[in-house]
Amino acid sequence: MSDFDLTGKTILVTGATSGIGLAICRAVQRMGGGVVATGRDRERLDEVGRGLTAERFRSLAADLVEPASRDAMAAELPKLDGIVHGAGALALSPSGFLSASKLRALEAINYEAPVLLTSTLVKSGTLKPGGSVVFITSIAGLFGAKGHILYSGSKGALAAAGRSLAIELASKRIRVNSLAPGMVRSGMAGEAAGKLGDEAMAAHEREYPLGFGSAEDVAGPAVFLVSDAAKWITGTTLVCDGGFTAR
Amino acid sequence: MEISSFISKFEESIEGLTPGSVDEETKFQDLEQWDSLAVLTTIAMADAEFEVELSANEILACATIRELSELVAKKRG
Repeated sequence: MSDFDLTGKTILVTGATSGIGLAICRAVQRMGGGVVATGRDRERLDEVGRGLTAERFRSLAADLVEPASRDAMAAELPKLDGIVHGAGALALSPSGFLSASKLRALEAINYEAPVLLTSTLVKSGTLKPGGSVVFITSIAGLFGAKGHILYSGSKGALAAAGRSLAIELASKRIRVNSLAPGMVRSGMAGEAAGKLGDEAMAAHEREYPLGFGSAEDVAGPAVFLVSDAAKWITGTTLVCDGGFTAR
Repeated sequence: MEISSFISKFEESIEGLTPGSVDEETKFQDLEQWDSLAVLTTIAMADAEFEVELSANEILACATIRELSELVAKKRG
């Protein structure tokens, strides 16, 4: 069996009903793994399930920014070999128009939820020793971009927390890494496109040597990071951006 | 909504614009200060000051400040 294979492994994917999270659910199954999908919408989770192999699929509806909902979901989980934190939100706001409520809303889903869920699942032993945690962050957490102050802050904080988690959890052989995508054609990027305008997005894509990515382009590296092929990789960020930040 | 109040909020929000530098007939997309951040800023200003949600494509479809102001007024209902 290849180290890249996920047969016999169970992976929790948050934000599973759209974009990158959905692509990761499919990729985990393609590599033989079992998926526990979570998202807010029961109907959309059922739809995800209909597109996947039923015997290796479970879903639990939860609103990860609500502690009671998050904890109830965590209590229902089977033993896990990996967690991919795909749930997140993007909001663009110039520096003169920031507010505490906008900041807290973004931090709640992009930083607080993945960090606290990881803590809960490590403490309860739900995440097995030898398991792998992957935070989907963003190149915005590594580099600056106009209007991205709150988003960059939340993603940068998550990657930083991930590095300290990696050090602390190494004694359990649990690995913690971040995967930082560039612009991906999914629901969230579409929202950004609407904010910046079609022309600005076309100009932005010309700055990507390999063009904008697809959710599938991020799913492959995520599967690699949860697999045993990455068993000596922890506490790092894998950039996945079609060469955008190589320039 | 008075167009003068829209103009003053526009001038206040866009970096580098001074009071009185813009009037109803100004082709705002030709301003030296107009860039992708100015689009975001206009969206944020319309939301914060006039409780109107604009998209970039709607803004970019306007030629003059008057058209932009009318769009905001119309969306405000």
